Amino acid sequence: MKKLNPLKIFRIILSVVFFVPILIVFLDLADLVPHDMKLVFTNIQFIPAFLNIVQNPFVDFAIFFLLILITLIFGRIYCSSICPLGVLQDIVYYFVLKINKRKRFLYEDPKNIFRYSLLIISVVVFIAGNILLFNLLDPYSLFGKMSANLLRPVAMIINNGAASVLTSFDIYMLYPVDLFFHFPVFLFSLAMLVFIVWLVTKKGRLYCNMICPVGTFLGLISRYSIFKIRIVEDDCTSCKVCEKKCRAMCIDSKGQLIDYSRCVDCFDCISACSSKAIVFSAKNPLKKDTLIKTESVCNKLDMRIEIPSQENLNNKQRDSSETNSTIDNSKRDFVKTVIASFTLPSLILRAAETPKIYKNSTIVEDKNYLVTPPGAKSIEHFNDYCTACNLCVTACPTKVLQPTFIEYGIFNIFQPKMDYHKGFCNFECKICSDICPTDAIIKINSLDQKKLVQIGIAHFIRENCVVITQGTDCGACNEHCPTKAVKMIPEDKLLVPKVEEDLCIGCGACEHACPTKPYKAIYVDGNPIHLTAKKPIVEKQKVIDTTEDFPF
Amino acid sequence: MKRRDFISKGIVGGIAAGSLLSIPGFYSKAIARPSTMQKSDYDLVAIKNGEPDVMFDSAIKELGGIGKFVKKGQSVVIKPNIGWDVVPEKAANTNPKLIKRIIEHCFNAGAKDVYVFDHTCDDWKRCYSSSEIEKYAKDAGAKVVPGNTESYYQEVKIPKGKSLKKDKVHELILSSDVFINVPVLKSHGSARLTISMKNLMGIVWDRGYWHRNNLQQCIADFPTFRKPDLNIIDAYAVMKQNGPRGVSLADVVVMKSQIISTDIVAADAAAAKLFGIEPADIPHIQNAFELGLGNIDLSKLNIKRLVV
Repeated sequence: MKKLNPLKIFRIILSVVFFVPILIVFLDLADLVPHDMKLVFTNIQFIPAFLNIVQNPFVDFAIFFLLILITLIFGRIYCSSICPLGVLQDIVYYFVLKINKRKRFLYEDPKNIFRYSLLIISVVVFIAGNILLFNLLDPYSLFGKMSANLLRPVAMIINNGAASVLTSFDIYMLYPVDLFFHFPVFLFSLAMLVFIVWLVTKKGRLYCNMICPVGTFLGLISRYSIFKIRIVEDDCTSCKVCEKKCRAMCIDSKGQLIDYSRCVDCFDCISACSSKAIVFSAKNPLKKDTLIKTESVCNKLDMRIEIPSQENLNNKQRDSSETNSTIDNSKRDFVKTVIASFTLPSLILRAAETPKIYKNSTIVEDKNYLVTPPGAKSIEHFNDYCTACNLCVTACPTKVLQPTFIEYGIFNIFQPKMDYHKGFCNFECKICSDICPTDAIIKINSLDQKKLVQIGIAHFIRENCVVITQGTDCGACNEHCPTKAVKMIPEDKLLVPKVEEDLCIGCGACEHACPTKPYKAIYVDGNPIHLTAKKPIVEKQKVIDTTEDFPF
Repeated sequence: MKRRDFISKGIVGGIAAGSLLSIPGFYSKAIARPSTMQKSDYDLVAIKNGEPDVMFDSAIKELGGIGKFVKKGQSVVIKPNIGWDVVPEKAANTNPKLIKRIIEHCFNAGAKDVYVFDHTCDDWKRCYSSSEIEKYAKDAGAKVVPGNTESYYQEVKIPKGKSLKKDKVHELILSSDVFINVPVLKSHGSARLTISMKNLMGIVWDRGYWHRNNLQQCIADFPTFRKPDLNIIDAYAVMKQNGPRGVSLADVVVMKSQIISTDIVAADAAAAKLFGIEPADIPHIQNAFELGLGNIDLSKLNIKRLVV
């Protein structure tokens, strides 16, 4: 083995510095990482930075340009160290080498037509109002899905096992958490992980150089970066070691050519070269320029990668609002069936304990819109910018934020919604708006402000309500309502709920608490565009004279 | 055999069992434990015009000190109301200083362990922290235990219940020697008032069942299974409207009062009167009286009234 060169050591340190925190952010079961910190490590990712600059070109431009600048100076450092999926592939590659010490790569021609087409399609589709390809291909969001849906459940099982052991010794330091499992995202994440591991084993960093739109885009820049891997022609013995060690498969040792659009700055070639004929430098050691195998198509492509103007965006939002305002019910029913088939076993189990006394509710809730979290502004805005990285899903303390499958439509697959069967939006919390790296959920400045954001409106179904069907007190909805939009109105000797829609913020506490089965007697229908609720009514109570005698 | 002993004898199994499933029915044979406490001179002590902790010092003295309830080496479980993610001033949760003082009394009496938990409505970690009960209880040396995981709950039968025949109860209620109930007096949209009996909804798993199947009867049914050994009602700051969660500080009235009794019906009846409602108008208090759980008629009780 050759000694590690300082550049490679630096690359590994940098990778650890970026990878470990982002891993912790996604595995933070006890919500120990400050939310600002979570934002720091996710906001520096390329697609989140891009989506930020698209939304606020004059405020959130620094990170995006810094990432471009770094690439322009040093090449694809983002791909080698900052991108968590890149580092994940390096980790897989490390183990591949452990298992197969003789692992060798050979130069392959770039898959230019494929990668540039994919990049163009991703961007064009995004400009056309759809984030689907960023959602599915963005390495950060993909890593997020994998951590939240594959690693986090493992961490949860370990935590629960440890908590159970500690509890048996009367130590309550750890506590059990509800296992998170969402089948469609899980399946997708698993499939992608298997696919990427397979790619790494066979073709090194091919995901980054063929599929990843970020990798392809940064490749366009890194071709012109100042610092590059360069071959000192006079020292080169054409031994092919560098080519065999290149995980990007971008060194053609025969022609002493390097495809800089694919070099991910791993610096393995520098360590591998026994004649020290490879350097990372700003100046070319040769008179003759090391040529890049350029495809004429690349140059044309550069023009297309432009940031959409605000005007375009507005048009796009208007268009999508027209198409989205009527949600196809058959699609929705299909989704319900799919979901039902996944939850069937648990339903069967639950049926065994159905109370005999209680009569089932009969009227189906009439939900027209999904509920998006406070800060999302509107379903349109949220759908346009959410890449389904799952960060909010992992951070939500009440677990009300849950990934969807295709409830928002196939183009908005996996984007989270407020699921009031899982939980309800905590009145005193706005974590999701604080940490969303892509600003799909825009930061709400104060809690007071958040407490008035109306994300939906509660609707009462009298015929389903326990008070009416059973003739007994219930009021779980009113109990949980933080604004008292749900009032209890006396009727005979009982109290019957009534919703004051102006006061309702759509937090779903009422729906979550409503005990009726199978349909709820109170449910929240989402506001496609978030509104502002009226402030809760404040009635001052009289001061009591505590010096009076006891009333008994 | 306590559940934790059971598990420590089979830790390997415990890892899997505890992480993924609970042990259903393990306690189904557990027998409802009758209250074995000695009778003191007074049935009920009511006190006013002091700070919560100071009032408790004086009131418990009149009942013969906490040592009458907590013996040396015993384990104690304290159940405050920690239902909501709000600050103490909003009086939706039990006063943290009162909890702290009760824990101190228990340890002074020689308690081995003191546990504090609630099955909260809002996110439990936020409730524990915002209510400041976690901080004060830990300061006093108690173990603050989560209550929002089903694996902590064991199924029990409630033979004397009319509507509630079985339920899943937090294991600490079943395994601890002494059970102290520390509710806060509040208005309540469904139960009318929430006091001692309503507070016991925070030691069971499935509250929805109660709501579906005659809430007022279920609240009265549960104490037929297990009555707290002592009820300490915090009526220092009282939420007079918009309970149990409250909307603003305007809902809260300072009453600077406290009621202590072993009789859960009498304690709730006295608190209802303090609030300004006739006990018989609160259906679950009347139902509990009819089940013979205690005395609703305060005139028949030996009450000690104190002013600090």
